[in-house]
Parts: sequence; C-alpha cells; structure tokens
Amino acid sequence: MTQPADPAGRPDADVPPYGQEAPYGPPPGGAATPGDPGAGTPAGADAPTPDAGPGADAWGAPGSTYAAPGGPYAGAPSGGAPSGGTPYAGTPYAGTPYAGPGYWPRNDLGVWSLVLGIAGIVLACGFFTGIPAVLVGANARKAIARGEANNEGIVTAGIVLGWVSTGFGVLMAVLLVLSFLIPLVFLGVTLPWAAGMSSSGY
Amino acid sequence: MLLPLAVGAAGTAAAALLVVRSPYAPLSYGICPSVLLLGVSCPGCGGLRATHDLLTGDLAGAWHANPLWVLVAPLLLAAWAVWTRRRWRGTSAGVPPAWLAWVVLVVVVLFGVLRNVPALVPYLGPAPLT
Repeated sequence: MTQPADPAGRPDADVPPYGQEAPYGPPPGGAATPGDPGAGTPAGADAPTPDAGPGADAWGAPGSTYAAPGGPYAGAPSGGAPSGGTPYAGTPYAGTPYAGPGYWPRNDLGVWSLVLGIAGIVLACGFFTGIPAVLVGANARKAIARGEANNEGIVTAGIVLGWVSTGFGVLMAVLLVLSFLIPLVFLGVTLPWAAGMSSSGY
Repeated sequence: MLLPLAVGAAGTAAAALLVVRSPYAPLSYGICPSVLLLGVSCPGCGGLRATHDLLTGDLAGAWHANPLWVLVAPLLLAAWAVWTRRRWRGTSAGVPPAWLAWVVLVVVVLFGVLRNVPALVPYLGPAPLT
C-alpha cells in the first residue's frame, strides 16, 4: 500500500538502517541512490516492480537474510509486489490504527502483560487481572517468536506475576471458604439442613 | 471471535449475580483479602458494591463505594465493544500502546495509596458497611 513512502515516514530510530540498505537490494539502478532513504527508495521501488523477473529474486533474498535482526519490517521496504514469496511480504499490521507499518519493536503486548500482572498483586483480587496477564503474555511470546517484539524479560515477568497473582486469588478464595467452614466445625455448629436431618431421625 | 463472547458472557453472568445477590448484605461475598490480612483498602475494594449500584441505577452509591471503578467501568465496556467488533470484522486486534499500560498502573497504584490516606477516605475510600 504505502510501501514506497515507508522509510521516509518511519518514526522509529531503529528502522531507518533497513530502509537505507534498500538500495543494496536492487542492483539494476541502485548505484545512483545509495545512502539516501528518502529519495532512493521511491526510485528503487519503481525500478523492480514492473519486471518481476531477476529483480524480484534480488529483492527477496536480502529480505530473508535480514529476518533475524529486523523481523518482519526488514521485508517492508521490499514488500508488496516484488518480494511476494517471502513470508513477511504482507505486513500483518496493515489495519492497525495505532502505529505505522514500520514501527518496531512492538513491545506493547509484553508491557500490558507486565502491568496486568503487577495490578493483580496490587488489587489483591488476583485472577481478574492475573489470568489476562497470562493470556496477553502468551500472545506477546508469540509476537516475539514472530520477530515483532524483543522484550522477552518483560513478558516473562508479566506471565510469572500473572500466575502468582492468580495463585494468590485462588488461595484467598480457598481461605475465605475455610474461614467460614472451620469455625463451624470447631464450634460444633450444626448446619441447618444437617440439623433438620438429625432431628428428623429421632 | 470466541474469546470476546466468552468474556462478555462471563461479565454478563457476573453482573446478573451482582444484581440478584446484593454485595451490601454482610459477608455476602466475603471480605477483600487485603482488608482481611493487611487492613488496607485495595484499589478494587468496593468494586462489587459499585457495580451493583451502577447496575441498579444508584450512581451516588457507586461513587461512594469505588469512584475509580465508576470511571473505568464504562471505558472497559467500550473497549470490549471495540475489541468484539474488530474480531467480528476479522481485522487484527490492535494493541493499546504501552504508555497507556503504564498510565493505568500509575493511576491504580496512586488511587490505592490515596484512598488509604485518612483525610481522603471519605472521598476515595469505600463507604463503611453499616
């Protein structure tokens, strides 16, 4: 969609290096525009798009080699038509209104998991936020596995805190039930229905 | 699509329970563990009473029980609606930005501290059960 304008419009400082290396991708006309992402990429995007022959392969190969450090956004400048074969060709966040397609890393999920986990401890009624913390943390783990985020530690903390607060919540519920039952047992208080049964026996 | 509906069903069931069984009855839902163990009102204390009052139309009573929840509950409802609509249309569920998470955490913790300040208890604290 708006891929040619991506490297110029990126807000994140981590990403422009990948945009700058876009001229490295198209060997046909890339020598004229090295080092200038704003001017170079539209020209580079125009050149390989019409011919989907050898140029497409040249674009697809660097996209896959960048996959480890850059995640899906390494493929974004070369995305769309030329590198349709790469698994990152269609950015999965095309519809999100929160950030542009070139915003990396997406650590929001992990931070939410951590905050929900902390809130579960603070709120003392653990499972209301503890369970969401674990679920959001699981999604954040998936995002890390896809290469979209890099906050492994925060996500782990969120999941652990989520489990801890859930455990606290369950413990509190059990204690609450016991605090009702134990006095009944120790004081020899007979439950109403039990009293009815015992009296009906005589 | 199942997850938003499950959350909605659980929320509706909890709301129905809160309407039928009033949390104003003594020990109807037990005591908040933070009150029981620490003697401190947690940020969620009074939440059941506030929800019950909101559902039965007593806004003033809800505000006295838990003012933060009165403000947050409509936002949560709206967030659930947006989430469900996104899932329904098949668009990828957008993640709220991380700064919002930190704002939420700061607000919740600050509220939890302030409502235990003796001078502010009448304004922020849960109204005492009589």
